[in-house]
Amino acid sequence: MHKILILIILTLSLALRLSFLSQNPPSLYWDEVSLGYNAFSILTAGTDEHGEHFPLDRFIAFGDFKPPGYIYAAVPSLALFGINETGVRFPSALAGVLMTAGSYLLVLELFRSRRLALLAAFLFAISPWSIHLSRGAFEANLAALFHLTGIYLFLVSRKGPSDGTPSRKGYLLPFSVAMFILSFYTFNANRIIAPVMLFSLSVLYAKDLWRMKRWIVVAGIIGILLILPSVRFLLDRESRLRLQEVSIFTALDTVVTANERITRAGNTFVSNILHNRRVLFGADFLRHYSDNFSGRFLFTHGDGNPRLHVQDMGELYVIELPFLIIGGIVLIKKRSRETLLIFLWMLIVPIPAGMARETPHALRIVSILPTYQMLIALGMFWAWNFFKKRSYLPFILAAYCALLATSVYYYLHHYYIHYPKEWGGEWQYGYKEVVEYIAQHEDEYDHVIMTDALGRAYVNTLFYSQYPVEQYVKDRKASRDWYGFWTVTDIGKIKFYNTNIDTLQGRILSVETPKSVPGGFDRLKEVRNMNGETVFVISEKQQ
Amino acid sequence: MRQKYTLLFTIVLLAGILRFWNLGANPASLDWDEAALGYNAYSILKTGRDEYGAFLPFSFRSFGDYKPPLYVYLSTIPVSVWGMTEFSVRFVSAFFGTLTILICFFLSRTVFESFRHRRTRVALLAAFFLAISPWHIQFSRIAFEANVGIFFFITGVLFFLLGRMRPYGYIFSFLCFALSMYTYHSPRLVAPLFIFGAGILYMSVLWKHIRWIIISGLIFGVLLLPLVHEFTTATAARFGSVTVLNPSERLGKSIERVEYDQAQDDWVGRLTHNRRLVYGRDILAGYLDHFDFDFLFLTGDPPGRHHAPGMGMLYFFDLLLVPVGILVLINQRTRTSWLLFWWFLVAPAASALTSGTPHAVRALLYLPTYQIFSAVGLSVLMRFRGVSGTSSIAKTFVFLFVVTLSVYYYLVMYWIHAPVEYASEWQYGYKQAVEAVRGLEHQVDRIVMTYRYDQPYVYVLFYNQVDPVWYQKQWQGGDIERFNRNFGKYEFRNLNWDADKQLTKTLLVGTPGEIPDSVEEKVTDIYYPDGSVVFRIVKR
Repeated sequence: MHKILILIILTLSLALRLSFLSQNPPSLYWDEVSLGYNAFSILTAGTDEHGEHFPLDRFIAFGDFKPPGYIYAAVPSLALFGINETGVRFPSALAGVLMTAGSYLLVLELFRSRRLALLAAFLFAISPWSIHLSRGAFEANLAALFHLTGIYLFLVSRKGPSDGTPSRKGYLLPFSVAMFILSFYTFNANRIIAPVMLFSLSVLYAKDLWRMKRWIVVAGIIGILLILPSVRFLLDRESRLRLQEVSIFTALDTVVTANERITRAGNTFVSNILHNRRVLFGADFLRHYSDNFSGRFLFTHGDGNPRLHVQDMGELYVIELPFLIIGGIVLIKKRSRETLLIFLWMLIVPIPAGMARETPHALRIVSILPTYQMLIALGMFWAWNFFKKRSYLPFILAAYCALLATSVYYYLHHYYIHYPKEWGGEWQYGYKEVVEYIAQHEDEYDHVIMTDALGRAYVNTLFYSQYPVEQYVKDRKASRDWYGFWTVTDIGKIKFYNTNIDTLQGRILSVETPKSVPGGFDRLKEVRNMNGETVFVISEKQQ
Repeated sequence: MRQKYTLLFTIVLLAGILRFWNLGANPASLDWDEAALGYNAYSILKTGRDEYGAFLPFSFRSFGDYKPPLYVYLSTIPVSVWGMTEFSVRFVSAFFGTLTILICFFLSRTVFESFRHRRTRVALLAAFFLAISPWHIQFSRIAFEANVGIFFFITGVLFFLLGRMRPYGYIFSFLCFALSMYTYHSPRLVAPLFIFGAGILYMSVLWKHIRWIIISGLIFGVLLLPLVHEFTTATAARFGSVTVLNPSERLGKSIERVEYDQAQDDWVGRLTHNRRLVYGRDILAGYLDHFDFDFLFLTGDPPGRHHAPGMGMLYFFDLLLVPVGILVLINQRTRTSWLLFWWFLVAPAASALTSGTPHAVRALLYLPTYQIFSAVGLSVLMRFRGVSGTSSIAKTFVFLFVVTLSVYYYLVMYWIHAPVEYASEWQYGYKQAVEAVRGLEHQVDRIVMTYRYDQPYVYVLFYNQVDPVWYQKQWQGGDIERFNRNFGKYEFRNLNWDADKQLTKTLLVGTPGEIPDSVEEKVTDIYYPDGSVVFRIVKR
């Protein structure tokens, strides 16, 4: 019976994550396109977009140094589905489905209850948080899968017969470590999460580990070998620059306030300690860190970034709120290692997010899933036992199921009906149509001018026209600024930053935003978003 | 027994010192609500009428925010003793704030009957935690009605519990709840909610005393009769200005969506984008905001008047003690602990309906539930034998060290940094400006004061001790115009320098933004404690 049920749940999870994957979110946004084009160039030429052969430590991309995990994961996917939206997004969607299975296995491993495991997997399958992030090519979502798998394999590996003899599944430990390292290679936040989590697990289960020393050595060696390729990059100036860009610890105000207070309090020894800037930075960190647990974020409004969340509800369903609280209490009362494991997991994951300015951040902390669903499942299970013997159980159950169905409907309605219409701009909707038009008509013109007003126009051009990477590296005109960011101004006859349109000779094709169509050009085509608003105007000038 | 009361006395004394010490001087100045309460008390004392000439009103119109009446009436006593000063305006709040510590002790003792001999210890701890609570100290040192409101509310709860033994307690209980509703807006929603839940929890007990309950209920009803009228006018007016249930701002998008859905023949859209859902989401979000870590422990709510800089509503050690206390009480499963939880859950109800959540004043009714949870948590932790078997002396030492450090940090923030960093939050400078103007009043025909810092007129009334009989006659009736008021030589409006510099025989009091620094005939500048300019006074 439970096998059928888990199959149903997995099918549901698959359906929610894969249906209309190419149409909603309405289009690929720049990071997705960049991942896609780099995967495409690996697939076709074995190099990244800058011509580097099989980079292992990072992809330069825009100069934002993307971790390599997702790009390599997208290579087979592009080969399978073609160079399109589905191909780019599939690894993340699949990660979401596999995490549903992972939730089931993990809960089974921790609490030995199939019903509880099924419930947690079901809640995960319908979670708006997971669905939304599984449907975009989000590296973090793939990293969350590796994170979850790493924890699961770790727990299984230490499981031995109760007589104290060593575990027979110790060989899984190196795989667990490998999973954590994969998450490390897939998303920046996991570069901090993975080691801290692995360390906490080792402390928590030190006794079990002690009985399988051999495998620890193997895992350690494999771990070091896998980490080696990235060491050079991690010590580089470039990786630190990226960190400083988002970090709260570079804020000058904090230092000024600290100094003012020290002076005002008489510049004594005590005041130097009390008003130390590190105290203020610590408080600032805690503020950002705790944002990720705020009720507004979890239950009513969610992440304020429309790309990461449908804007009309929380990351969890409101009706899960009471069960989350009950589940937390139930778990605390268990007073087991599982209690510590789950709470440590929840406390560790938001650490890197807490050091950044934009909080709460659904994406950076997605590795926290499925702990919430586990807690909610525990709470629901407790409630089930509480009401089991009461005569009115069927009514409560029916009412709750109706509420849950309504909530899911509410979410899906917003996500499928209103989201793509209202937030198309967040996904830079319109590039695909434009690039396809350019690719068809390019030969008829001497110059093509394309606006960069929506950002990263060049990579969209490359991806949608499947521009061969060897050719691109030859054709491009590009420069690099001090921060390491690349600006591509020309690819062949296509120009992205042309301010002096009048000096150009010959036939010109122009792609502009509606407000800045150049004078003297004839309009050929308007590209509209799903709301019916014009995003791009294509126009031409013959001689 | 004697030791117990000595301790209690010490705690109340400590509370009194923390609340009365330099009461008139920190917070650095009176904010406009305090000044308005003070002047209305003065006006009632002298004439029996408020500033608008209303005879013994049930709510004070003041700035059009219709202040609940009790604080003003109570303040007539200190104002008659010490005159209209900062100290006398804040006295009622500080006095009831100190008294609340005592009530908190007796309440906790009653709540924790099941703890038997340990209940006194828990109650002393709760009283101690309330005595040092930054949240409670903050509002005990300000003339805020809410602080007196919680005194009556807590006393009401105490008498409600005592009523189980001596049923006439219910009469006092309902009387206190009624008084709390006359003191502040929040209890007008929270007290009935609390009574409702308490009634269900204690149904069986109340049924035994049904006669007393009916009598108390009748008295409660009669006492509240005048409030019914206020509800429809005064409370409604206040509520309208602060509520989140503001259709114009929030519903635009959902209406668009309903229309889109209908264009797609989706008639369920009317339900999906129903305005009750839109409101419900905002109210729930406002409610949940009160549990934010940031609000409770780090920076408090946005207005600097509500806390010292860098302080939340609680101490960091509460982060450990409160959850432990809550878990212990959940385990207890006694009726009184459910009552405490009900209180804890409804406390922010009124605040959740308003915009600007979390809000330390509107949710002040939380006190002293947090402190009680902490007390329970601590008393359990002290008994808990850790793996290393730490001795209780060591634990006491650690506890005292942590508490002392926390309180020390708070006091430094409150006494050294708050008066400087938050001076502008307290409308600092009005007193000095009014005094400076007073000396020059006879030399000019007209005094124009800026409205930039809001409600300047009330400071003139307060610091010049303007005769209420005369002032009441100045009021012509009609609506209150926020940025335009006049009486005597005084004109209150924002300055327009290009036009106003032409005036003659005029005193201009403006902000540094309104009057250029280089102006001749400058009489004086008024400075914030950090040295920046608040007011620039010019004589023409």
